[in-house]
Amino acid sequence: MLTRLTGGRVFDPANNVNGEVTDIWFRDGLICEPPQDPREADATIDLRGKIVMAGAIDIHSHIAGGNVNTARALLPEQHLAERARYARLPFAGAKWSTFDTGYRYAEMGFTFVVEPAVLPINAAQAHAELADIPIIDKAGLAIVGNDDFLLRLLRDRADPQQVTDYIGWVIHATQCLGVKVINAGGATAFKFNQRHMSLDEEVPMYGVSSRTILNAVQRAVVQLGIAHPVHVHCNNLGVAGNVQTALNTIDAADGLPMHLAHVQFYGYGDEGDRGFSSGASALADKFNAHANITMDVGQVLFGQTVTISGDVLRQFEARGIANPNKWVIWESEDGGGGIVPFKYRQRNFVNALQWAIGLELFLLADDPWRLFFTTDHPNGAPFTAYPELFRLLMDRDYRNRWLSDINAEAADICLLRHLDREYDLNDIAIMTRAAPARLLGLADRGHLAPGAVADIAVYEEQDDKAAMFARAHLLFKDGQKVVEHGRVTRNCFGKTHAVAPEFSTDIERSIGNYFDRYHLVDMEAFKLSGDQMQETLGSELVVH
Amino acid sequence: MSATDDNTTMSPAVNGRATIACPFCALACDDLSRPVHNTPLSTEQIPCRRAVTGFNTALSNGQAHPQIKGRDCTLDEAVEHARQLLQNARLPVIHGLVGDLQDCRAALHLAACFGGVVDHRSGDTIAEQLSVLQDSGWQITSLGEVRNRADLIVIVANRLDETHPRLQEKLFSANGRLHAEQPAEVVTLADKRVSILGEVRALFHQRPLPDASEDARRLHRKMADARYPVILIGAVDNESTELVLRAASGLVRDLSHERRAALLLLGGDIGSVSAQMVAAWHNGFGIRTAFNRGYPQQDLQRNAAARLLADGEADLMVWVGSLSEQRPPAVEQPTIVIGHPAMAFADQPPEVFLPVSVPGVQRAGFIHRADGLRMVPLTSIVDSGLPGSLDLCRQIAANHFANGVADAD
Ligand code: SF4
Repeated sequence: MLTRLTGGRVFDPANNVNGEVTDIWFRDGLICEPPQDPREADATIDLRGKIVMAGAIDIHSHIAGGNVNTARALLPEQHLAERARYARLPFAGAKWSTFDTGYRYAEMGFTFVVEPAVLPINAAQAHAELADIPIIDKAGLAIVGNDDFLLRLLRDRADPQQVTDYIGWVIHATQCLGVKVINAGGATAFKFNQRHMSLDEEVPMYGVSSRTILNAVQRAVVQLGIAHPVHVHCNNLGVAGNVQTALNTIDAADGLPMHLAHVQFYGYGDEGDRGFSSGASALADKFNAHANITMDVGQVLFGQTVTISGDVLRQFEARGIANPNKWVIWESEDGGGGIVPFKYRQRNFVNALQWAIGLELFLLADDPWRLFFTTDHPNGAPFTAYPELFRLLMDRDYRNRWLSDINAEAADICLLRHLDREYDLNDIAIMTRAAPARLLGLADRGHLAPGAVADIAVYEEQDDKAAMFARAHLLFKDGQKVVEHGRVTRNCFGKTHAVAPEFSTDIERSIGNYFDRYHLVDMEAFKLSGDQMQETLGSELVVH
Repeated sequence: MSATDDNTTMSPAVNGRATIACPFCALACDDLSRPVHNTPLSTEQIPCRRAVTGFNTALSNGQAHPQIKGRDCTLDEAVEHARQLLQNARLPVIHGLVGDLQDCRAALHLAACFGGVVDHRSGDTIAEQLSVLQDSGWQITSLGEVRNRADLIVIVANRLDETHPRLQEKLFSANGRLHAEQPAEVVTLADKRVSILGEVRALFHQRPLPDASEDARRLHRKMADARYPVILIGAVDNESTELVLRAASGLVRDLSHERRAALLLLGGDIGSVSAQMVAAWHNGFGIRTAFNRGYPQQDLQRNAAARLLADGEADLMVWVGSLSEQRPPAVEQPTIVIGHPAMAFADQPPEVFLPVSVPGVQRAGFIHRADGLRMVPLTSIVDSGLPGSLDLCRQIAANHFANGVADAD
């Protein structure tokens, strides 16, 4: 089936198409060259007055796994259904279910989402949940850095090749697209009653610092040739003055690729009467000067949400501010984490400043190819708030109206009121399409050139950018029309993407011994195979 | 001991998958040797009586016929009859869920398609736990963490040998432990557990408690000395799960200000952890969630399967139980059984019996370990030719969402 999309304004920054009216052709699931004779089209769709982009990609959104699922059960009051939706789709109206996650992302024109925190021992469940998210494609990042096996290798000053092989093995065993480090060593330090972990502090009993762990993982990822750089959740999340931690971590990266996650939560100075200020300009300056660094923002938006994180130190410290007052802290083999509900209030000084700091980072960062659009769903805000964020970035007047509505002191001291920059559609297409595909190493998506997967989002051009991006006019997933007029009209299931870097399986001798000695798990049973992914977890695996 | 030390005992796993996992209790041990085709197993081969029974029953019952009202019929007839019953039901209850990931998915799909409610056979215990979680949350740990690092384990459970037969071996007799020379000290609270836990808590708060029991004083001293005390909660007889859990959870919270402490929740019945977990990601809430209004509504009391059936609010029961040959409870309502092929109904056959393959024996699957942290893969050992529950339920619901794909408007 050959389809022609005609008359739309196309934003395809990977191919230097910036708002030109041009045709997009696709055959079955792939974008193709136009045929000699346009009459060959089996279907022609008139998109005059519409905006055409590749399907959007979210590189950091907590959509599956133990933490997310526990948060669901902990907070039934946060996702009560107000009305029946999608009567003919499975699990219609089940807000915040895996099903709802897929429908909602699709409505906004997203076609690929990365769950950035797959604890290896929990990987099968994470993949089972991902498999039950309809429409979109997905991938996971495997958490390392608090795993006893790795910390032992580092403590014993093992040959770096062993670290590399071990990281390769973890990715292989968990069927993930890359690795994530969360407060390196922090969850382990917590097990020894340490309630704080800084970049150069040592993990008790192991004698290695966060810096050592980060560097080792970073080198392993580079050596394995994994496209996505190590995905880092720094130390000291959420603490006043922590911008210094982020700056030091950028230095610690030592010129090698590193991705810093949800940097808004590290954009905090400790100046002023309240000891809390914006560190956005220092962080943005450092970022602009370091081409090896990529970041996503983790924007805060006002309202009720829940924070979920593998940073057990941070979550434990935050339990006192849980709103509503209930929380879960958990620990486990090689990790831990917590679930703390939270309400960001616009009249609250700190919350208002957090909101401003995120936007400042967006507006001060020079290179949209290295800065990514996230709310760290659901930590800063649920992903369903993205359209609001697009509007804030694209509409200075709208931003300024908000500034007069937030805590006045925060509005006064923040830089935001002085920033005039407005994102245009090309910037948005870079930040949510072309750049994430490049960062994740997905050559066949994020753009609209022949050969790319026919994941295509079409929007109705409108002045109100929130309205425009809330409901895609059309969404094609693998060439199939799945959304029309902002409503999911067809259910299908996307695939799960992973990488399979080469490593020496000799490492399995040590890992197997280690498992036999300390684990309740058989090493072979720990590894997820492609067959299991397909047949029992229920998701087709695509290996890049 | 270092991970890189040269060790003489090499993992048997290095040369390929040598072991299989057992789905017959919430420990989901994955270290059993693969039974040889159709020969009866013994406890020498597999160090667990419960597992031996489970495997042998499934291995020797690879065949069963679909039935309508006790009479053999074709699979198509049984599926069609089940579909008719579900389509005509006002409020079907999908009950049992004594199964794995696939069974839960199957049950949930039926509930969503036909506007029903799902509940597990031991839904009361799950609901009591959920009500504590939803009120206050908790601080928990995992089986592996307790095995490796706990120095004091306080057991609040009855019949542990029966519910988790190899717990002793797995948790308390471990030789290699992380950063711990000694095995953990184990204290079992036999009775009056809610009040003892309450007294210990008061003692930690230094409240004057002149008549605190000796048990409470002893436990207080032990917990005060421990570096990492863990309260293990399993099936509790004669006391309310909810009260025990609240008392233990409060104590752990208090302790954790100063030191590491945690609850270890052991889950209960076969499949109960998977039932709650899988239901939560499908419908947002978990078990006891009704779909009869088109959107999900959880009500831990109102939507109890036993109550809905006893009060006549539900008009059809679907029993999903691929891991146990135990018959479903007898109810007034017509019953569809999607179950273990060894199920026998004496003289009370259900309206429809659809035998399905047993996960871990006749088909592959996944089941949650007790602590919910890990889904353990289940292997297919023999091919029974029976359908899997998920395929079967998709067939039953085919007109609703064919293969999970809705017909577009
Ligand atoms: S303890 Fe439970 S899981 Fe382990 S072998 Fe026995 S029945 Fe199976």
